[in-house]
Amino acid sequence: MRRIKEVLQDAPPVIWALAVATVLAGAVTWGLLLSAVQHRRERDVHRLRVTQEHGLLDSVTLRAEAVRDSLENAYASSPEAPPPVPYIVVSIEDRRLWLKQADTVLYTTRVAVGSGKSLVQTEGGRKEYKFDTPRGRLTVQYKETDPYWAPPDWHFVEMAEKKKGFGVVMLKRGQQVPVGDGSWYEVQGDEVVRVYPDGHVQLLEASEGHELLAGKSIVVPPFGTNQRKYKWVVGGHRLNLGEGYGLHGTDEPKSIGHAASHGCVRLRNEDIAYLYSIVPVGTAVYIY
Amino acid sequence: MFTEIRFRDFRQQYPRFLPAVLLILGVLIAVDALLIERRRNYDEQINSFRGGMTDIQRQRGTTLADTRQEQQKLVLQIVRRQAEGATALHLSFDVDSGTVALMQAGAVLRSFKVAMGVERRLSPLRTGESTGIPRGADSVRQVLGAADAWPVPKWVYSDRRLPVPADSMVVGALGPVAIIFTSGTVIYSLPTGGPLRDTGYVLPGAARADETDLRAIAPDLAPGTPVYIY
Repeated sequence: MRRIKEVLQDAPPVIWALAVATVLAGAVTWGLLLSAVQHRRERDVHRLRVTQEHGLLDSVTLRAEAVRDSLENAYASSPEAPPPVPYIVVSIEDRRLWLKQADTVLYTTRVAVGSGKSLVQTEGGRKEYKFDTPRGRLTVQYKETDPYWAPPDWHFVEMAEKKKGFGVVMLKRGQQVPVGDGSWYEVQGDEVVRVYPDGHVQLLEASEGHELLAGKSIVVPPFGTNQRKYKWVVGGHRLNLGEGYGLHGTDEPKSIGHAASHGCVRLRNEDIAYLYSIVPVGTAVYIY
Repeated sequence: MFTEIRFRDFRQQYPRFLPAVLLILGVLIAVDALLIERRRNYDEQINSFRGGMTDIQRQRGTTLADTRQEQQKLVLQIVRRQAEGATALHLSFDVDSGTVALMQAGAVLRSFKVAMGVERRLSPLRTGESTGIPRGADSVRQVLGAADAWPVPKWVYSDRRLPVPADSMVVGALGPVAIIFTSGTVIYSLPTGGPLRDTGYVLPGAARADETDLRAIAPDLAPGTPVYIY
């Protein structure tokens, strides 16, 4: 240092200028070095963050793919919609029937549905009948042409109510119901007959509104007898839905569009004929 | 002249001083140039990383958004498929098209359009409670008739700029027939009284159907009847 001091004491201004320039250059170099180190650190931090971001992106992508795969598996394993086969829908509220396939309506028409009324039988123990069309899913179990109607017990109760002061009497196989004049009703084979005291046997006929009478009682023939088979009441065709319910024609076309039946779905005779021709057994019938 | 003589004398006296100083100065200038170049290089790299990071972040955001959208779509497809394949009687509610269907085993018993109320946050800050319809599997909680009371939320009154009554229970508020799901979502018919008695207003987060449609399906709905909302 002392040597430099001696040298500089003798130095002309040019040398002084050079020395000062060198010191300044050194200071600038030092500053630049510090700045470069700082920039390098900053670059490293950025590089690290980019690497982390790449990792995050990869993990997001992988997770997304995993979730998508799971969802696709869930979709694949969820139950498929049944193949589009024709089905019948009946709206009790709208009194309308639709034959549909998927969303497409193939055929629609007005119908009569259950009246919603009830009938109480007091004779022989209290029994209440409710004339509602059943809701839910039913199926066409079998089809009939020229079907007869086997009136349920309530029909006779209803008829008795209409004829003021009348009751009902059940005729069972092997039993006799006295008519009141010495003769009696009994079942022979598939027929209800009237047997007179002299042994004369009369084959009887019965139809809606023309039931068998025994004094002040309406006779209820047993199921299976011809006297409990009414022709033409339910039109020319019937699609049976089970438990006594069905889609059928009517001898009262004016009732179509009303809540008028005893639970069955009534159609105009031409409508049921058409349905009969195109609806196979097993077709689902949804009533709501 | 004097300076030149002094300078010459100085060089003669210290012949190595000047070259040494010049050398140091040269080296320092060279190092400065190098450092400046390196710094420029680092800056370029930093900018490149910043740009790259923005791209990745954007890509991540896009991936997340796409994924969420795709997942939502798939979930809704699953719910729709469940609705189409469910064998029990159920309601199928397509929120986007505003269609409700009574279905069973793929059969469409009745399908009808409904007017949709907006789905939105109730607070002006767009936070907190919302009127969104939760998608997915739901079920019928209750079927209301004209004589049934329903607690009209207070925000409905403020929404309609009506005074908030002390008792929020309003008889027939949801019209002659209404269906309430377990999630609280409501499908109602136009009432004759109460704050919802307005054809131009649909309760936010709910759906309004024709009375005839609801009347036709109501007897078939019981608490627990499945509902698929998608």
